[in-house]
Amino acid sequence: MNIFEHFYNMTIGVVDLAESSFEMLPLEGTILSEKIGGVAVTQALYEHYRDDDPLVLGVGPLTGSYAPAACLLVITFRSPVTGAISHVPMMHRAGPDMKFAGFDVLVVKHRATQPQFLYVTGRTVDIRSADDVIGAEVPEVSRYVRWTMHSARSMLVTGPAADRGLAGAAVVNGLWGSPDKTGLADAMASRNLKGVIFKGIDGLSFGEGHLERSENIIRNLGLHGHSKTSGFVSVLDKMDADEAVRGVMRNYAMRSMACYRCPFPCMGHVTFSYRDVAAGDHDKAEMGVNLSDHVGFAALARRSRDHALALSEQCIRYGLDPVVVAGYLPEDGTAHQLRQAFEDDTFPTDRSGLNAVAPTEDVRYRLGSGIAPIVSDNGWGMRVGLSMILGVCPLFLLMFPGLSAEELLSFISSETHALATLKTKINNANRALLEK
Amino acid sequence: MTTYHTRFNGVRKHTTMSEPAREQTTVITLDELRPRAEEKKSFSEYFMPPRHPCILFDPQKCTGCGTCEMVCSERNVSKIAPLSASVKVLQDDREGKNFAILCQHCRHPLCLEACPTRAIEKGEDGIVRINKLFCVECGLCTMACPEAAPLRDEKTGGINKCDLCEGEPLCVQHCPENALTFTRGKAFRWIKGLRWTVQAISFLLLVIVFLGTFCYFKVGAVTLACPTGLLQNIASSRTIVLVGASSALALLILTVLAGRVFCGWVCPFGFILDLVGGIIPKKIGWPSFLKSRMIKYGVLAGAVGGSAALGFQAFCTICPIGSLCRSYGVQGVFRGAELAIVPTLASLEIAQRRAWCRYFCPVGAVLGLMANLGLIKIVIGANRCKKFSCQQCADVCPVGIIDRGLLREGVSPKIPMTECIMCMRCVDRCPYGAAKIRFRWQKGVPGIPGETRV
Repeated sequence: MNIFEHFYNMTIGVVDLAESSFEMLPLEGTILSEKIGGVAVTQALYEHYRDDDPLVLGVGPLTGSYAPAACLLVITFRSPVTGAISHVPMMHRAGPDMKFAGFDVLVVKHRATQPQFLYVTGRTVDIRSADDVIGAEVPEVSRYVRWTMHSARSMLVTGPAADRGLAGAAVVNGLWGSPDKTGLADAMASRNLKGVIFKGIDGLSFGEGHLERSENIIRNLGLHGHSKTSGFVSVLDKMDADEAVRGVMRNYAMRSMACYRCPFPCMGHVTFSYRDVAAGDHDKAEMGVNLSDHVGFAALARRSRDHALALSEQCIRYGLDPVVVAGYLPEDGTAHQLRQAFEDDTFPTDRSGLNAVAPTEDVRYRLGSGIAPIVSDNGWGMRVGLSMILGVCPLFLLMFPGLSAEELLSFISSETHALATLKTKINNANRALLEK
Repeated sequence: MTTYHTRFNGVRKHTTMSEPAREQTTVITLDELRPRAEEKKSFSEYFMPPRHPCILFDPQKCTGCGTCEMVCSERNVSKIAPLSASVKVLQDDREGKNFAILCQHCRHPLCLEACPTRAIEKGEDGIVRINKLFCVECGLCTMACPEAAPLRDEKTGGINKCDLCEGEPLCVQHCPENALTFTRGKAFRWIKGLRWTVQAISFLLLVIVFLGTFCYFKVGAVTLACPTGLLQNIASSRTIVLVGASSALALLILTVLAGRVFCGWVCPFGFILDLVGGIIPKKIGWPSFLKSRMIKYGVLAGAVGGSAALGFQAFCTICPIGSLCRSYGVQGVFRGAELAIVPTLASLEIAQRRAWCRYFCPVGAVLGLMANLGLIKIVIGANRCKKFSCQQCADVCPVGIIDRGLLREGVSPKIPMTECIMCMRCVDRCPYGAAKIRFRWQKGVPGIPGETRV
């Protein structure tokens, strides 16, 4: 018996952008019993379709379940920035929505002739034109998607930065940014793929007793029933962000937000008043920004403390990686400068020469690009690998080192022997990922 | 073939069927199959209304994790399928807000009215349920509900609606942030009980014990007087009696401190109006040309001007409060035509609650002017409440000063203290704690300051 049958739809969707076709294939139990899921499966399928240079989107066994922070979607692709195979974690609701749309893995092959959206719902993938929103800012794209793809639940879209081929283009998850620091947006744009939209109308039974198990874990972590007031700042603290970074947030009220089934809301919405003197603004404007990219925000805050929030808002608006923007801007650079560079088309298209933390072959960029460096390198890799195989948020696992692999694996099987086998397989898969 | 008539919810429906089929068919009207629930409110229900269970949602605490959808869908369809849940969390990424769509189990559910097969029923326990046996999944309930709470399951096409898990809602039990709270409704509203008690005692004191005069009475060293009567007195006699002025000041100071509590809690005629308004049904509308609340200031001006012209307190002779005190007490003097004033003005309740107080009462006009300078105010935090479907504050307000339109737009309506009679029905009734009494200088409304600070 396949112990994963309650955790997966056992389906792979293969989309050929060049032919605008879609086919559904069975996900073999053998690959799951060997690789478990998540990044290990997407890596294996990437190898399988390597000649087509695919984007492989996949979920873990726990994605969508009651396990804490079971929200992960992994995207595996060859990074146009580093040239290496890269795995980008996407949080929020994208993973569960893809799973509930009926797919465990989605392989996107070749290149479309025109910009396209993929609308994934009800065990089908609808390929729709994105001509109308090429060059549009992300909020406009988001509005268009919600209007044309009725009540879409999750969306991964690229912004005007990717449309223009600018350096540091990044995928935006809803209006929340993303940890894409290795050129996923470039990879999508090069395939004429404007976005992937999910609406999961079905569901999975997972297993019995998961809710109680999950609540016990959450309680043991000391998270149940607390109103976590400053999840975003807690992560900055763990990153050893300096006072300059934390000081930015001190004067603002933050509304904490969490991803799917996450008891630790590490994201936040901040409303702030902003006046860009350089732009000749006389009055302060009320603005709001969604913060979910801790590394990006820290980079912006270090570069330009007074303008970090406004710059974060612009990064989401244009679909830009804040780390690259921080590298481009001078000290105390303003939102006006970024807007000017964007409008005048003077923002660089090449990362070389940017004073930014450039993606390298470092494991942090191959696996879990953009996830905050909270613990030491080796531990970081093992925790992130574990989370990306099981389909749990890597940041949650990094923030709560007390949560063991056994506790997470107990959602899949409670038998001692099966648990030991699962753990061995995960460790092997993890090591293989880290060595590559 | 025979043309055959059936009655469907009062509408004649023509169908054609063969003779054998006709012989086997009996005509059953929907009224026979699903009789309408009794809508009459018993006397005891007026004082002790049935409980109103519902789930309260606190947007300040909700992080949008979707656990409520997961547990709800598992109960509905035995699997985790958030779009098959009876609760839906909407996220406004632009504003960074979450909003839960939840059935409010309304007192008068519009979904129940809209359902053509009467599949929706409100139980004795106050829970509004869909009887799946009768539901034809037409979706009219989803359109009728201001909260859009009956949700269509896109997988099955069925309608999912919260039934509060028969009194133990799973979403409330498992919400990790305690953003959802289940309330069975208040069996006894203490403000209501206290107000009725105070009103009854005031009535007894002013009408019966103190020999029927609210207008001016003296108990030991304490003298109290009606401020409108005092104004008329000054106008008619053209002299200011210091004792009278200081006596009237007491009520004015009370109004500055606590708003028009006299009107809501003490006035004996208001007590009669509340009693009559609670019992008689509203059958006719209030004429639009009398809908200006400025009329009462005209009445006040007329009373003062008339007194000056006539040389006596003109309005006092027809004042319903005075007439009630003078004519109806056991030791009072029954005086002919004056007896008719109270029932005549009380009969206005058939058109609008507290119609006299809203439009005509000059005593209320004087107190309203003072209340406008007062220390307290009533605020309603539309951010905290379910303003689309609940609106109980507007339902219960006897003077109709809560703007439903603003509530629907999610804007906190400004309560004009000149009109508010401080009965505190809105505070008592609001299940979300969104209606509050605040000091005048306090800024913000419930729901806004709850944002967490980093």
